[in-house]
Amino acid sequence: MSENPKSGNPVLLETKDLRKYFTGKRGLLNRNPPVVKAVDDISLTIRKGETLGLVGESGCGKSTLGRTILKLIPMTSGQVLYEGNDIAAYNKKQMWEMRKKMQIIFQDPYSSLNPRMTVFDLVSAPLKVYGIGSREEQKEMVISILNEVGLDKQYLNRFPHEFSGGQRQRIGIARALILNPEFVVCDEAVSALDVSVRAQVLNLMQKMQKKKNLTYLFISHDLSVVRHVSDRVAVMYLGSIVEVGGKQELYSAPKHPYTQALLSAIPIPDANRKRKRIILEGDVPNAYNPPSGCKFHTRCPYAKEQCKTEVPALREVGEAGHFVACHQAG
Amino acid sequence: MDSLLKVDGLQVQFQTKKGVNTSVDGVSFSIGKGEILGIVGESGCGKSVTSLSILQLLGTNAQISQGSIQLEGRELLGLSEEELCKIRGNEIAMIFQDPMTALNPTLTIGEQLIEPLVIHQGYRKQDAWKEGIEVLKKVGIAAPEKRMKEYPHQLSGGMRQRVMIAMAVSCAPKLLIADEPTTALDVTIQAQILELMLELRQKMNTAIILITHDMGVVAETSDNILVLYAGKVVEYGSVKDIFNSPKHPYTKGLLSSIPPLEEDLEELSTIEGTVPAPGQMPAGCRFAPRCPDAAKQCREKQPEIYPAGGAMVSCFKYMEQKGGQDDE
Repeated sequence: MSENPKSGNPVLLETKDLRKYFTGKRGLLNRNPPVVKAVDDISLTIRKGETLGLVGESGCGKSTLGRTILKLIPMTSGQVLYEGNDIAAYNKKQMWEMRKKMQIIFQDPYSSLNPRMTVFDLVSAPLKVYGIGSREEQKEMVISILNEVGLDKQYLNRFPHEFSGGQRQRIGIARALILNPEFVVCDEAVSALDVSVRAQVLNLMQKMQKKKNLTYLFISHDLSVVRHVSDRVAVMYLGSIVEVGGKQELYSAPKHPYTQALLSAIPIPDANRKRKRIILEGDVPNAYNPPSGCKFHTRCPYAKEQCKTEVPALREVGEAGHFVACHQAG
Repeated sequence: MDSLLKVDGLQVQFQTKKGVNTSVDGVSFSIGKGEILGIVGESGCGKSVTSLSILQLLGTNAQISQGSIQLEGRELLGLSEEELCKIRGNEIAMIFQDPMTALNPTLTIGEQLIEPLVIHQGYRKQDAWKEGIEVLKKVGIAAPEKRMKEYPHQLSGGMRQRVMIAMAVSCAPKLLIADEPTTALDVTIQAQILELMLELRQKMNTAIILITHDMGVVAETSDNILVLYAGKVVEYGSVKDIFNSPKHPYTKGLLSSIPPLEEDLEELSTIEGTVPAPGQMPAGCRFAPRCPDAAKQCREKQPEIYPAGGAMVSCFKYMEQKGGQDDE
């Protein structure tokens, strides 16, 4: 595929039929406890050095997918292959070793940093956990990574409350990158930031990716940000991937009606263009009781009988690597 | 257009332990009947404080120290609490960002919805209930009879925001102030709510002040835009003027730091540095420390607001031009 120069890179991470179900409380009257299929049979591949964007609305399961891949929460079934090895089967000790390679950057720079720890304590914590370096060496490493993320060493002994949102997110990035990981899940990493600061942090994340050959799973609800940072994009709806493809193709010729509606709903900062919007009816259905067949059929303008009964599988359409789960898409 | 609300030289000060902070300084604008004015800016720029000042809903540590706010020629500052109550929710209504915290969780939708009708419009409870159902229909809520008896937690986020809008428009206010009305919502729901607001403007000729940090939202809905930075107006003009030829370096920076949806960029352009902290405002132009074009006078003196190609810009670059042409 010409548009994605990273399509020849080796696969770093692959999920196979990954599932994460949350089971509700079993009550006196409901013998069968309700189940939320937050991640429902998801198979994805992420190549080395690329950024896979993951978009969807709140409650679609995108954060759960990120956390399940990192085994921060246990999976229900399926496989997560990291360089071909199934980490789902890893024991605690093996996982402990793996975690050096897999890190996460969280959304909220306010709650993800312990307010009682100094910048040095926060950023050096991973080094201490893995017993890397003496205290002096640790200090050098922290100063060097802080420098890379654009924070001066004079901040070493300051506390999180002394920083702005953008600076805090830089601290979070420094902490995630200090062990030189290969794979980083960015879970709404810039969503809490103002536009001008967001651009600074996005540029930083891209600079670090190039420099350290990082692989990102970039989770966000913001479609324009995702387009900017990603090589490929996956669209999620109620626990399933409905479409995945190279970003140019996915944004210019979306095949799934949900992707089409999502893209048309983004307000564009341009006063001259009045686009025709596809306004979806209704809300996202309750996850406890998702619709049968294609989960999107209740809101889909093109839904037919078949959509109500048969679950559509992801199939390749258009350019190579562009998959869509829709009976109607051609 | 007839001027409905005129805000002139508004200054709001907050009393803090460290002294007095001026969080809104010399903000002026006006809004005509049926007009949509977008107020944009980043967190802490004073956009919410400005809107709360209009209804005088600021906390006790805040004080409107200067300026005037006139609704159809009538001065609102200095009105008694009793008189203000007649305006709030009746002539000027407000909707907030988070519909869950703005609605009372212990009352049904109906009980909350009929309150302004009973208080302001003198409806009898039974009639108000009927009117409430009509208003819910107007904002696109299915099965309104049933929803009237439900509690806020039984509704989705988008529906709660519709209820908030229903409450706000139930008395047919002349002006609706919407403070980040779609920020807590998903894009597809945001599109529904924006569509609804445009529709209400069309039907009821309600003027709307739309406060948001999302430039896309203002571009698609507003007639005029007021850009705030650190409590001051940096640029004020029509949507066309501001998006087609932004003049203030801050507006330019803000627009160019948004990732485009149809184009690939190697790197985003950014505005260096951060917004000055309250109480540590620079002496000159508040944007000068981050401005790529800042000159000596920018650091020393505060610029006034100057006309420039249809818009108003608070930047020394436009001081000489006296309503002249674009610089590009």
